[in-house]
Amino acid sequence: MHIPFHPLRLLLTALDLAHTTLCRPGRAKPSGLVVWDSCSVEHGRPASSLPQMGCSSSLADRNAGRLDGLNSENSMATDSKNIRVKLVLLGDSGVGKSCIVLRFVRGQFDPTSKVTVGASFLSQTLALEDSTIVKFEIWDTAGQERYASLAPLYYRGAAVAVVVYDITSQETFKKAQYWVKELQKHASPGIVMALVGNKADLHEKRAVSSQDAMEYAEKNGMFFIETSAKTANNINQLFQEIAKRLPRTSS
Amino acid sequence: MDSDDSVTDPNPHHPDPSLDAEPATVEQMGSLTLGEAGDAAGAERPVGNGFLPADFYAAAGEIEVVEEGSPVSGDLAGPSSLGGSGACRERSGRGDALPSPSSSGYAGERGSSGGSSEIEEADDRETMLDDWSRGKRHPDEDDGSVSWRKRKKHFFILSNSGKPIYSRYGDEHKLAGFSATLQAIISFVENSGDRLKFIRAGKHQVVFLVKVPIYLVCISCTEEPYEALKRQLELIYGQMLLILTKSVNRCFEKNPKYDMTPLLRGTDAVFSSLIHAFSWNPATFLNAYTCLPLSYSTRQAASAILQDVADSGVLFALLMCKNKVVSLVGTQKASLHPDDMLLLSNFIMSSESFRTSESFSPICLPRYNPMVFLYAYVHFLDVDTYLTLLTTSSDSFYHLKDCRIRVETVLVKSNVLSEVQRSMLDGGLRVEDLPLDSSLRSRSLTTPELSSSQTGIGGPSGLWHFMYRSIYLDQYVSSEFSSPISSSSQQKRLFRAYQKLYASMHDNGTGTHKTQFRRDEDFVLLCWITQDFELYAAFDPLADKASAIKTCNRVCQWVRDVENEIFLFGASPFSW
Repeated sequence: MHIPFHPLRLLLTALDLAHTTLCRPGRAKPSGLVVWDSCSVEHGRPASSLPQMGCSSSLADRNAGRLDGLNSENSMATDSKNIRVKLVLLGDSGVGKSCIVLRFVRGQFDPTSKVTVGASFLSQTLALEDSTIVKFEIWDTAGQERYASLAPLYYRGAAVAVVVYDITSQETFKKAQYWVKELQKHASPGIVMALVGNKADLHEKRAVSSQDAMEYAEKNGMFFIETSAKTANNINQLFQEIAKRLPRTSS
Repeated sequence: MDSDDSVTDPNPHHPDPSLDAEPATVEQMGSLTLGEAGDAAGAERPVGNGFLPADFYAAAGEIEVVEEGSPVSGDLAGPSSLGGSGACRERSGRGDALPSPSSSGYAGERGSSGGSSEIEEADDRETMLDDWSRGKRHPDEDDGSVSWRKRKKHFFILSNSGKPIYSRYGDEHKLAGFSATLQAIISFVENSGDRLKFIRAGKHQVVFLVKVPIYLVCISCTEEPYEALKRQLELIYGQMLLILTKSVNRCFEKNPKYDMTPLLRGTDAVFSSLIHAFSWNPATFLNAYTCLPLSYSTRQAASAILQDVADSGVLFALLMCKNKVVSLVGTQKASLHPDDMLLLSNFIMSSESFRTSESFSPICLPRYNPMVFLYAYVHFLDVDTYLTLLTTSSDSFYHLKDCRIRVETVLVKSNVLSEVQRSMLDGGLRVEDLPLDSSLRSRSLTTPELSSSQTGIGGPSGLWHFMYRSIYLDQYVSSEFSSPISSSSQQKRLFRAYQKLYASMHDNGTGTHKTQFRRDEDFVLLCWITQDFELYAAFDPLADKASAIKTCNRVCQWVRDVENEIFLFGASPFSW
């Protein structure tokens, strides 16, 4: 299915007209990759006490402090081992973007489909073997066509884009290619892109071969993986592989 | 049969009295108009694939088509007068493209449904099972299905080229032929420089709302007044704008045949829940919102922290619990229209994903500005309570997130959240708690001093229920449903009776009435409208008129006594 182009652009025009702030030049755009120096402040404990491997959901920290805002403390010495990353998930509706995120962030899987509205924001930290701690700030975008024109709002400044399709639907793979092209044109240069074939547990209904997807990913300099949010297969691997591919600020 | 039908109308085949008084031209077009319109559409699709409900045909002989007078004389409804003469002329070219009428299609269809004499209406009571929350109901149906045709209340959105956009029941794409029929009926009348308001066919009423290039149609046999159904169509249109803004119109400028259904994908639950609200939420016809009862100081605490974040560049900060407002603050003079609040809270509550995590989404407030998106930061603080922060700036997510953290911390620390949860459990005003006499006024909701000695039969003088709407505040308060209005079908019946009462009191033709006392086999209804408030009260059908009036006075006094707890002051520019 191909997106009719102008109607969506028109919607975007409405946005532009309304809010010229969308691309306000005077303001420094947030860089996707931020050296995460305030981690210990945010969590109210030294970074070293974070679990070495696995996850500490930011949602659990919701009430644990941060009353004084993000910038209240003097910056601590820059610790290049703590990285904050803006990650955006894109893909057709129903491919399982939210399921991937919820599996990664909360370890949950809810088979009832819940249509995402606009975009949901979740975050999750991941400790790598080299003791780098990566905090993913994840924008889980809605796959509906009406939000396609608003995607730049969410992928602008992202360091990582995860483009998801459903291995049982060729249509969603085409849509994924649309997103890859869009990102190549408009996203930050140097963005790390991953192509994810989700619903790998439904292999008996497979419509997109791994071979095709892998070739497409290689051609476009992307990292490719097949996942199943349902069985949790490859979900953590996906994010670990992404973390490994992040450019590191040289210390 | 079902509650939808049980509102007794002494004159069921007669349009609402208010319409009789209307100066608009009432033409008895008989089957002629519809015959031609039906044929026109029939030629575009297989015969027999575009049924109107069975009754529609059975009663075609006595169809009344009510058109407006000349478009120039216009109606006073304002925005809806879009379909003026200019617009009609503009579209007349397209009208030429309609297939010329022939005599075959319509008669065939009519015959095919003429055999069924008594059509039993499908039961809508499943709405009580929260079926609406799961999105589209009966997506496998189409206009050929018997079950589809028996539905009591259909809503359709279509484009003015006849493309289906939304249908309450059935798959939109399968209803293309039916949509074309509706479009043909509308454009037939428009081509003669007039505008169709509604068609009455037996028990069915077909109500039209034209918002070029969008048409909205309701087909209903619920005997709700025309004004109520038209307002419901307006709200559905508003809900669509909230999701898409009015800039969708430009899609149709580029391509009149544009298929809009993909743009609304995934929003069935939003529309279903709004349509469900038409049978329980008084805000859908009262033009007002309602507040969660809270002590004055608790609400003040909530308002203070919301004001604090509003001052930092948030357009509106809104704290709600289900459909009830805890507090609402806007920057400067911006005020939030009750309809926008209704549509926004419906949108948030019916979209499950808001409950999963914090969200940042474009939404449009049609009464605030139908052309542009605002950005809504939405976060559920508990199962029912959610904070919505609205801004014009697309890059203020992190700021709004910080605002939310501040608000949440204060609400938790000052026990506002627990008070909110307690109030949800306690409920609102109860008719049994109505103070018996003015010297014994209850000063607080939480300590009712007097209760009816025989609980289970409502309040004093047979008072069963009331709704009080403060005109200056744009707010209403409604008593809790209690015995004997305890079953959902009884509540729906009362709701429909109020709807009728409201319509008859706000009849534009004869001006607003002051009081009304109406007795039928279900209720005594009493309505009293002053400059400051509107009171709607329902009594036992055997209630005495004099004591009912006395009770209404006491209700008003009671509401005034506890107004600090049931209303929000300071949200509207009129309130000081």
